[in-house]
Amino acid sequence: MAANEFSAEFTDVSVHENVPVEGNIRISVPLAGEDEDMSTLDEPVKETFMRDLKAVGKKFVHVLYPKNNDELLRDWDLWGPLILCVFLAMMLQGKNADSASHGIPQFAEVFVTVWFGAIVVTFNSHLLGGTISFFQSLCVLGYCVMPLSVALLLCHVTLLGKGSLPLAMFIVRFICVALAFAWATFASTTFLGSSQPPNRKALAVYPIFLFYFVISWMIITNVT
Amino acid sequence: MASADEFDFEDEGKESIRGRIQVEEEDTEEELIYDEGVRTELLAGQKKSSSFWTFSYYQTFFDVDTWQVLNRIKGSMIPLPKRNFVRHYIRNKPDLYGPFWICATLVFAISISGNLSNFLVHRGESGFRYTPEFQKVSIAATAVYAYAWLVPLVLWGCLVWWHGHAGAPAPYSFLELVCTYGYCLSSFIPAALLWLIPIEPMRWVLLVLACLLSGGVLAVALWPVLRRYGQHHAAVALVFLLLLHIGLGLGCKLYFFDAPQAVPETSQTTHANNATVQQSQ
Repeated sequence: MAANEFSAEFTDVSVHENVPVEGNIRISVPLAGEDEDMSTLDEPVKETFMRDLKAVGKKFVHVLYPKNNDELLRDWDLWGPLILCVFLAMMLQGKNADSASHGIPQFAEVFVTVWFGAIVVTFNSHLLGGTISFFQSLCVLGYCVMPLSVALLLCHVTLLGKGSLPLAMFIVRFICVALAFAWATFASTTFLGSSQPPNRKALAVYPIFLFYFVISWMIITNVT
Repeated sequence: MASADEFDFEDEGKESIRGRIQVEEEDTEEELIYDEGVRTELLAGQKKSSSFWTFSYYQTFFDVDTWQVLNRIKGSMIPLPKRNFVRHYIRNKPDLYGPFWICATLVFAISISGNLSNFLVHRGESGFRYTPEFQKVSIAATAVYAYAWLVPLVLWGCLVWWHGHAGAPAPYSFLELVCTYGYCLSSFIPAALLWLIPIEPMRWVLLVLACLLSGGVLAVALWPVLRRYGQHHAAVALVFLLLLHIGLGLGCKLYFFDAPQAVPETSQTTHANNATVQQSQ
């Protein structure tokens, strides 16, 4: 009888009227929320601005204390990475017109290196079978540049001494950048680690390591 | 189910069945490659199920685990005459992860190591200002990626053209060649990092060692395929490819790593200058 059922045409199948149907429909977004979203058009600009700023600030705090929570991934945004990248490029660029001949990276070089590097690393983890989306990964990589930006600020502070105690200042800079590099790599692997297949985790982590290493190198060689 | 005769290795006629069994030593390398070549074409046809423009097509080339990549790197550093890199390690599953990230690592290893070693060499000189030499990163990237992707492309084109005359598919696919070249460059990474130490004789020894190891793996992988076009042509082609390989290593060493100058001369000149300055005052 089973064979007959399976070989029957679809037109021969009839559904009885009194088959009980059970199910569970859950609405994840409360309907009232939609009305609230619509009304943000009328709120003052300062409120919109502060809301986005608070979201960005909260993510910075998450990077400072990296714990495996989903908020960085769920509410991704690219404002933080943009702010950090522009800050990095502005601080690292050569100051005068002929600095390009001296080998100091220009604004565009730093900007492209950071964004292109982040995109390539994201593509890599995606191709290896990562489960998070392209922009979520880009968001995490961008936000985790924050410790390196802090290290860049500290390096600039030590360079304000203008040549006094060069070796000691270099050691201080080196330790700051090394710590920031370790922190950035640790933070990004905390957020991205669980999304990779377990037997390919090292393959996904290595490009992230290389990416932050190159940025750290650019920071530590910035002696102007 | 099958009779014993079907799997008789000594039977010359049943080549197609012999090809299905992964035999390393018993078969002659040439027949193994021909049969494997047929299998490669069949498997390649099976793999291309998704379109060239979709993301899932490229995902098939990143379908490797950590231990596989490490195994392939290890195999690319140790040339053994019996271990053809393509047959033994790639086994019809070429990946793009290795070539791409090994090239990226090599680019940054050369630039960073070169910059540091130039700093160490020129540090005591008067009028030396340290610069990060960031433009050298793009030069290194162009050189390494062009070598690792264009040379296999040209080689594969030649193989397709030659085999096209015989009516058979090329014995190695383009991706297998890219994979071989990419993994072979991994021998240069420790060499580039150790070139940091500004001792000239040691740098030459490292260069020779790296070229020997990676060139050896390349030669073992490419020789069986080239041999079929006559010993003379094959030898010329292989020597040319190895010269290109050595040229890359030599070029990187000479361009990115300045030779340490004779230090006593510089300090003597500085002392002489100081003496004349003091005398004139």
